[in-house]
Amino acid sequence: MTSDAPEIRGPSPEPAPVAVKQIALKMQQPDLRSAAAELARRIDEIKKSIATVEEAKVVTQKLLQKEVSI
Amino acid sequence: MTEPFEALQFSSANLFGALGNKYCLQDDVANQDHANYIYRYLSAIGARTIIVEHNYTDGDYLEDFASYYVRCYEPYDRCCKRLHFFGEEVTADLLRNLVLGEIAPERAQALCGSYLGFLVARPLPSAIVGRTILKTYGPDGDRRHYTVVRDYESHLFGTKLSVRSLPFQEQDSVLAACATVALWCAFHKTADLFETTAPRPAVITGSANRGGHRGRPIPSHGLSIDEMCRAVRDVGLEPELIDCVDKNVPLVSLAYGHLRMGIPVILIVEIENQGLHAVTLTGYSMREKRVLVQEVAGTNTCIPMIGLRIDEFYGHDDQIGPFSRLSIGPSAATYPVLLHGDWKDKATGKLLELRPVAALIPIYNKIRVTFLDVQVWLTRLTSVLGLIVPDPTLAIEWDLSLTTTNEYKATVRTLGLSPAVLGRILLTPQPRFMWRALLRVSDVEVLELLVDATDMARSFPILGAIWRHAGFRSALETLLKAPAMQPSLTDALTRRFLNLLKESLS
Repeated sequence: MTSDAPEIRGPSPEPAPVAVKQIALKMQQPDLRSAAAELARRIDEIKKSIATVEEAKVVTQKLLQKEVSI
Repeated sequence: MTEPFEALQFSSANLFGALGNKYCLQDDVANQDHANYIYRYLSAIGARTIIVEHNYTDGDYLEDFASYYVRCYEPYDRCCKRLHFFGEEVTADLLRNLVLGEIAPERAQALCGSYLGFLVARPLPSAIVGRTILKTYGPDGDRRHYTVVRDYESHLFGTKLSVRSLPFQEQDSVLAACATVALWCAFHKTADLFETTAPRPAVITGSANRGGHRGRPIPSHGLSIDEMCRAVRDVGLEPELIDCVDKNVPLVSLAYGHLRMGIPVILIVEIENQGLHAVTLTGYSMREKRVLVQEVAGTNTCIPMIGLRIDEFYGHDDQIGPFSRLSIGPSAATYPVLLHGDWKDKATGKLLELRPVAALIPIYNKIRVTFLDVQVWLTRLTSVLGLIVPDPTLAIEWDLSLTTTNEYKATVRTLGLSPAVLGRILLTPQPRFMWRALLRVSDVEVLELLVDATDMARSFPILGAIWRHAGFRSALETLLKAPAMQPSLTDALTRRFLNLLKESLS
């Protein structure tokens, strides 16, 4: 083998298995009807929260005119 | 002929003497806050030697000189001194041998490796700290992240030295006040990220004032936020401006979301009893556990995000110094958080509050979907997660940040995904810029969403979901596919988001 020849390598090693950490979850066997009712009850709250984020996207002329001067 | 350089042992007296000039003597320098901050900073990063390079022509100062100082009656000097700092003891003979190539390569390498950066001392009566590029503090484990930095090379008599940093300078209040300096710092990094220009302070002040000004632009006493936005547009970027006062804006997470990719965030803060000031954020300190309960103003409620684990920002504050610390604390109302740095009331010595008013982010024009746009989608999904995660406010954390397809594809290889999933991600074309929303439940990474940052806010920009935890996936699959759940899930998530999640499970 000359020094210019490519080095022959074996297959790349398999990535080390990642240990699965357990997390506590509320509903492995969910009570779906009560979950649906709970989510339906929260819809207004979710929409209100989204509306406040949408509102935060608005930039006013008053802000643009503020002087940064220290 | 005077010696072209001096080698001085690092000490406060030598530093202040080297910084001084005929208008500003060593004792005057010793009384200046910037000089003292820089002395403390250099001490902390291990400076041992100062090399003073005389008759240095600095491009930034030369532009200021040509724009203003040369037309003063007083004959200000056009040349500066450049102070180089090393973490090793360097004598004049050793430096001469380094420059002449008369020391062993290993020794030369060690010497260059101890380089801590430089500072340009301007020959002016005040504002003597010119362009300054200094090494950052160390990471302190994995806590400190200085992301808004780039590689710089400096040449000391032909010897190449390098440092990873971001330029800083003190405002001269003639051609540049804090707003101009904050933009100047930020543009040095955006030039590296987006191949835009990095204009000098005089040019920034000039372009910001083009198209009308309330008074004379020079001497500069500051810029309005509108003018700062104009300066951003002038370098070919878009000004992403976010109002933080009384808004549902998770400021710390929002800043992190950009800083993580290296995008500078210019924070506009109100300083108690003084007015508005601009600081260019350069990094953050991330803790393992939460340090904040809330990061939005007043009674707003926000999904739990990674910003709750950030206890400090680092920023270039032209009134303080480079990489100055801003501790993040809770705010009772109005502001999302309160910040404390080195700002003190001159009369009483009391630490002053910095109240975040807005964030200005110079962003590439193809990054159109914003942090807040993605926050809306995450808010929808979080409402559903509450059905399967006990105590979701404490257990859930969204880690949302901008990334590029290349950076993401490099990261995804390290996640231990199955070959099929990994292959699908790597072989699928992606937009150049994406938001990566990583969901952790009880500190375990369970899901990530990729969002097309180049799309439109009113579109559906979510590209896909990657499930990272079998138990979580199974629990959510049961919920998402249950017929009884479909009407309320559609209402909470929207039909397209629900369908995307279901398709990603198949």
